[in-house]
Amino acid sequence: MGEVITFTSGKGGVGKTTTTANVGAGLSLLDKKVVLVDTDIGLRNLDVVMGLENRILYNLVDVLSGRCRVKQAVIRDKRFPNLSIIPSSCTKEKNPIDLQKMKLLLQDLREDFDYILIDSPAGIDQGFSLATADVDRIVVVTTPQIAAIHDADCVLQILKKQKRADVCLLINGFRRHMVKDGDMLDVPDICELLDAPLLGVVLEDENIIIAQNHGEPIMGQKGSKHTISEECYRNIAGRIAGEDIPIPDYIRSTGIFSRLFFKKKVSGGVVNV
Amino acid sequence: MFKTHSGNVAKERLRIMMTEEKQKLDDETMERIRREIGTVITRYVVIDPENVEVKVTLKDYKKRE
Repeated sequence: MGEVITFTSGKGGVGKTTTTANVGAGLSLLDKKVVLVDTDIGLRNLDVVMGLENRILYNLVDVLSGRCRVKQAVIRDKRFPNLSIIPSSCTKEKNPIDLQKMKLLLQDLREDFDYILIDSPAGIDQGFSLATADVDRIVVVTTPQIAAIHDADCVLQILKKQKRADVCLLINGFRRHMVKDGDMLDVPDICELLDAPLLGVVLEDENIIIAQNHGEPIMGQKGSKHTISEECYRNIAGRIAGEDIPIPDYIRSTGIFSRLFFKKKVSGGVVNV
Repeated sequence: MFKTHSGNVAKERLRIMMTEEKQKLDDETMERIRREIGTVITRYVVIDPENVEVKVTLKDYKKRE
């Protein structure tokens, strides 16, 4: 049975899609069968970031409204082992998406894939409910910027009220030099404010923009040189897959953050990783 | 002035915002408090319990600001 993980944030533009794409690619490089599902109805961009926009025949809305079978909407990314995506539509939908149908789709995908990663839309309304219903784990993505942290807190409070377990935090766009100058919140500050277990930190990396211009994930491209964010994504993918990878302390280069941050679900109970 | 240690400024602003938002009472609870306080006051003063306005502020926040 596959695990469904949603990447959400509250605020837009913090890197949900980039994270979904690269963590997905990272998991597929660990020989996991992965499908990425774009649930931002009307504003599709996962396929664009992945460079698969020309291969779309059917999308998520087609699947949910019964216009096609699930397999017809799944696009295989040939550059990676076992990586696929289900794109979203780019037209405004007249009918709201049926939550129940989304749950059934996830049940189907759980049979065929090890990991189903959902790229959630920004905000906390319908699309958020659709992206977070019936999932196994929710990753709240934030940058160290004040508005992003504030919105991440709003999302975390909503999830707390829903009594959702397995919610964790991912800090994206971390700029070491700014933190060293005292002009950006450090990882422990953000964790203290948001009070959620930390899945990982992704350093700011211009190569991400360049890779996306080409329609490529930053992960493990053959022949490309390794970049600073690639390692971050690789670590995050490893942690999700249950590997014991500590989170490096990028400011005090000697240390690592304690391992109490992220809990990996193990059948029958929860253990610290 | 915006250059130096603005991270700390952000942290403090976030801390205040988040604590306030978490302490915020929902409308239903506020209405219950208003009614109960109104009832208590009518035991001592002749007023219409519906005609009472209640505002809750916490001393601690004022101090911090």
